[in-house]
Amino acid sequence: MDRRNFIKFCGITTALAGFQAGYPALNAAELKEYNRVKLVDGKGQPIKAKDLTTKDAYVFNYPYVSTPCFLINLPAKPPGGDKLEGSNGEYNWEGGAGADGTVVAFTAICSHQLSYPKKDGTPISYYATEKSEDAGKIGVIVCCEHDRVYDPAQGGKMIATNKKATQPMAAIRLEYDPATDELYAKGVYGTERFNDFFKAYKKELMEEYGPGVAKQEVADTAAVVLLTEYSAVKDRC
Amino acid sequence: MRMLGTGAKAKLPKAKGPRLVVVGGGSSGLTIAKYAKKEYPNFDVVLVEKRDMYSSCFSSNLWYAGVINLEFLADHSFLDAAKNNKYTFFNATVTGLDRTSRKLLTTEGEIDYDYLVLAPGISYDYSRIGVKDAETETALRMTYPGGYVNPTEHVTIKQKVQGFEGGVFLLNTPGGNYRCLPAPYERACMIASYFKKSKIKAKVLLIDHNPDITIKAKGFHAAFSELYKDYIEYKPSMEIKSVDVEKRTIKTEFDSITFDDGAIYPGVRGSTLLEKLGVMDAKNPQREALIDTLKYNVIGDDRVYVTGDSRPHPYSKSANTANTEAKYVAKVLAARAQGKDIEWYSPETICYSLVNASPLEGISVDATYSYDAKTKSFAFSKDTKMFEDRDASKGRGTLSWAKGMYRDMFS
Repeated sequence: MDRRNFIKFCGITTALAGFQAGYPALNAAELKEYNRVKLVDGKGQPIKAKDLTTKDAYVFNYPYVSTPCFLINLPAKPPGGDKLEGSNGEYNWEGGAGADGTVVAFTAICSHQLSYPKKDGTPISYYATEKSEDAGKIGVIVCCEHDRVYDPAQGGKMIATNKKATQPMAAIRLEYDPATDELYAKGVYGTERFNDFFKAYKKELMEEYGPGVAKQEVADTAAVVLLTEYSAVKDRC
Repeated sequence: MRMLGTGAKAKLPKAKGPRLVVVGGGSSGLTIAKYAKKEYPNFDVVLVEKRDMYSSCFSSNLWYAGVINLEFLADHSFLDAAKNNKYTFFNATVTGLDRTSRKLLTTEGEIDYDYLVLAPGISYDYSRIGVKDAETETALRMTYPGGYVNPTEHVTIKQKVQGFEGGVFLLNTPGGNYRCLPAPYERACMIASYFKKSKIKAKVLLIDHNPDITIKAKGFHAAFSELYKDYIEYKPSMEIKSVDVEKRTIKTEFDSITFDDGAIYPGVRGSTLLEKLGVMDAKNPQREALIDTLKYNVIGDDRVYVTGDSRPHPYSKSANTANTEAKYVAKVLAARAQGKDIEWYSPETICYSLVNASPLEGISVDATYSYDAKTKSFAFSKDTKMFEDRDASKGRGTLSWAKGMYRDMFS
């Protein structure tokens, strides 16, 4: 917890010697810094950005042991720089990471009413190749619980036109090492709702993780698995 | 004679900001209490509710088929909701209102308010099924409760369904804008699903005042014919004209129908509390609130608001409508308390219906509303979508939708 703090970063990428953040120079954005963790596979080996499929989303738990995030390799590089509205005002979405700038990550906790992928099933999914009935298209994250549609190529912006008052999904700041093709998660920006999440699911998290574990920060590495493997059943809508 | 609630102040801490009193701990009131405080933290919010324990009306149909247990509906505390969201829960029944001096009278004393929201829900109107005497109405309320207002009705219906030994189980859909348009059809499916699974020689007879299923018609018709051909008999365009409780018989315009047990849904009106407090529109056929339909304040009084199922709008009287509408009204209140105003926007009616209990299969609707300023009327917006091909995904969605509602109101 000591390492976490709020920083305003503007041109901070210049400090990341040897690493490529994969997004253009930033306007001021609010980043909540958490542990810098390497994204690894189920065997603990670093994942390579070039190996990520574009046909499904991946899930990794970050910044806390119990808080899932989507890792998505988009079919094309998003422009980035989207101006989004969070609870603390406007912020810029950084865009994608990786050699092609196509890898993006967001918390997989719906900004609307906090649905998230569980082991036994997920109401919120990325529709990589199959058209979402709600959204009428592919390439979107849809939460079936209350039909919220988010665009991962626009910084997780909620794009269902007939819905009000839903903020973008909080973005995970990724760091990319071009020398090794490896990825790191190192913070969250936009409107994170982890405290609401812990409050809302207190009982479930206690049952799944035991007392006090769910709120522990992930350290060193975070295991990345395909959503279809992470959740036994995927709701479609 | 001394009236309850007059004279003595309610035992509440001194207000630390403009006091917003919300009456009614249902989907509308719980949401307004939470979100008004979020929108404008200076509000000192008090939620007044007559029940001492919560149990949701939404999702109760699922209990009849054994899909959920009572804990699913009722394991949600008013106290926790208030504590989590920094408002006060006050367990009392409203007995009167003095709008001149801004006092709400309750069985536990008077409460001074700066802003008041009334979200009392619906009351039954038995006159709409030809019942005019108190004896018959009382007998009906007790013997064949509608199951759309009080949790104790749900318990009775669950016992009826799960103890039914065979014969005709009567359900009906009333006319007008009744609470939860798909609920009577979902209930028919849930009870039929239970009878089918339990191999009970029984039939659900669903009498519908309307010419056809009122929403998600394709999905419900498919369920009736494909899943419950031998278990549901659906009779549209049949208006109940009278009920003989003793003989277990209803009369329609042309028929006399005898049943073995059932749950009778009378007509719906705005809560009788509106009438007692003098904020009812006497010209409204369902005796709903006399309010500005865009801002929700009582006409001529910008300190008193009526929301939820007592509203006069043609919106679906459903939990999600009340929940999303309440978020808008919370913004209106927060804006007005700061001398501002906001633009109207539509509530949402996202509503899942379970049509099969084993395996779980559901259908859904995602509706919003449009407002025509010329005619000052509301209609379903062009974005409204029906998802009527039943599947397991929407079956699971029915449960997770409800969990989302509880989370939003209580945590």
